[in-house]
This record gives sequence, structure tokens and C-alpha cells, in this order.
Amino acid sequence: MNDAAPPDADLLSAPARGDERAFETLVRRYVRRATFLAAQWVGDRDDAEDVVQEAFAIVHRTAGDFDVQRTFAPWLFGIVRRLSSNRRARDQRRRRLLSLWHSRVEADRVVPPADAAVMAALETESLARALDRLPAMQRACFDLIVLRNLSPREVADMHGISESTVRQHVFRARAALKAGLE
Amino acid sequence: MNPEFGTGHIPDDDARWDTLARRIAANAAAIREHESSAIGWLAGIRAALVAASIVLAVAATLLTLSPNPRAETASSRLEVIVLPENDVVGQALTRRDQSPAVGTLLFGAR
Repeated sequence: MNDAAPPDADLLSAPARGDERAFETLVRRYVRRATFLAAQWVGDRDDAEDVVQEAFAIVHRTAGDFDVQRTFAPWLFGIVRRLSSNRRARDQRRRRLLSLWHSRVEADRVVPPADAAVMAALETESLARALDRLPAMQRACFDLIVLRNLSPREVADMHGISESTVRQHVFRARAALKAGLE
Repeated sequence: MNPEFGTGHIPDDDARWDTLARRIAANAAAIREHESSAIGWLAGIRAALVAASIVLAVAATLLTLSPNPRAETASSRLEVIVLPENDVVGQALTRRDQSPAVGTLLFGAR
């Protein structure tokens, strides 16, 4: 964000003044990270976009209650995480119920196939397998920082953890991947 | 609960994010507008309920205050017993719920 860019708080209060374009600017500023975050929780791309849609609808509705002394990003990402977690829990309950009726239901949600270009960037299949074996938060931080070029600060906001914890997760992920490939 | 999935399947290009942002912002505004109109509708319903309650209360009060025809009849009967002379003509004049028979007035009781 450059110095000329309006602060989040100004964009957030814009709809109350009838300026919906400013809200769109705010959405554009965060939609990429919010979608990646939701996708890490719910897996499916459409589900992730639904979650982000719902999160911004909440933001739009409750913008008047937002404390301008606070930072916007952690608030938004907190909403996205909560909605994603709820959706995943609901999907898991649904799968459990379905398994009562069907003898053969997929036991776990299948991880969507990664984009070919990204997989190519990973270079080898063994690296991808090693990535799958990482603990959840290590994999999530590594995914966002190494594959999506987000900063540790941004990832910290997204997952509601400290920047140093993010760096630690990435460091450990790199070490584990390196050990897995040797 | 932890994040489980990678983001490799999410396409990452500016044009797509622009489109998605436009759609999300427009939907958020539409949802807000819809909710506002729903709240306005509920407020209208509430006002109507309050008005109906007032009308019912007024009607109930009027019914309570209006003279009870049965009570009137009962008091008339009491007057017949207590106040008039103890003859048929007097009783016929005093009873308000029915006109005295002409024969009774002219000839009295037989």
C-alpha cells in the first residue's frame, strides 16, 4: 500500500456515506488474501469464495460498529477464519450423517488437485508429498509465503498469530522438507 | 481446528481478483439493502400490531363501560318487587322491558 492509498477505516465507513466504490476498493485490497485463507480451511474454491462473500457482507453490515482505533485486517481475517471453521464443521457433520445411509462414502475430503504451474514450481512429486506430511500450520504458512509470496506480517494477520510464529513455522517447514528430500 | 488445505488450486491473477471484488462488493451492498427493507417491513408490521392492540383495548374499555342490558333487566325486576304498589297495574307500569297490556291498565287484574 502506498502513502496515497486511503486508510482502511476511511474505506470502511464509506458505504454509510453512500460511497459503494470505496467499499469495493477495500474488498479489492483484501480479497486475494481472504480467499487464500478460506481455501486453506475449506479446500474447495467455490466454498472459499462463498465464505469471503459472507465475510464482506458482515463487514458491510457492521462497519458502523468497527472501532477505528483497531486494525481492519485482523478483524476481517478473524471473521473469515470463524466462517470457514463453521463451514468445515458443518460439512464434516453432513458427511458423518451421509455415512450412516451409504455404505461407501468418501472418508475424508479429497484435497483439490494443485494447479499444474504451482506443482511444476514445486519441481518434484516427492516435495509435494513431503509438503502434505507437514503439520497443518507449517504447511499453511509455507504455502502462503513461499507459493503465494505473502509477507510474514500478512500471514500473521490472516491466521491470527504473531509474525515470529509465522517465521518459525516456515523455518521448520523448510527444515522438514529438506530432511524429507535427503 | 487447523487449516488443512493448500491454495495451489486457486488461480492467482489480477483480473480475476478485480472481478471477484466487484461481485463481492455489489452483493454485500445488495444484501445490506435487502436486510434494511426487511427490517423496515418488520417495523411496519410492529406499528400495525401496536395500532391493532390500541383499537382492541379501546373496544374492550367501551364494552366494559357500556350499560349491561342484563343488569338493567335485573334491576328492573328488583324495582318491580320493591318500589311499586303491590298490584298488577303498578307492576305493569314499572316494568320497563315490556309495555303494559291495555287490558291490564283499563280493567286491572281480574
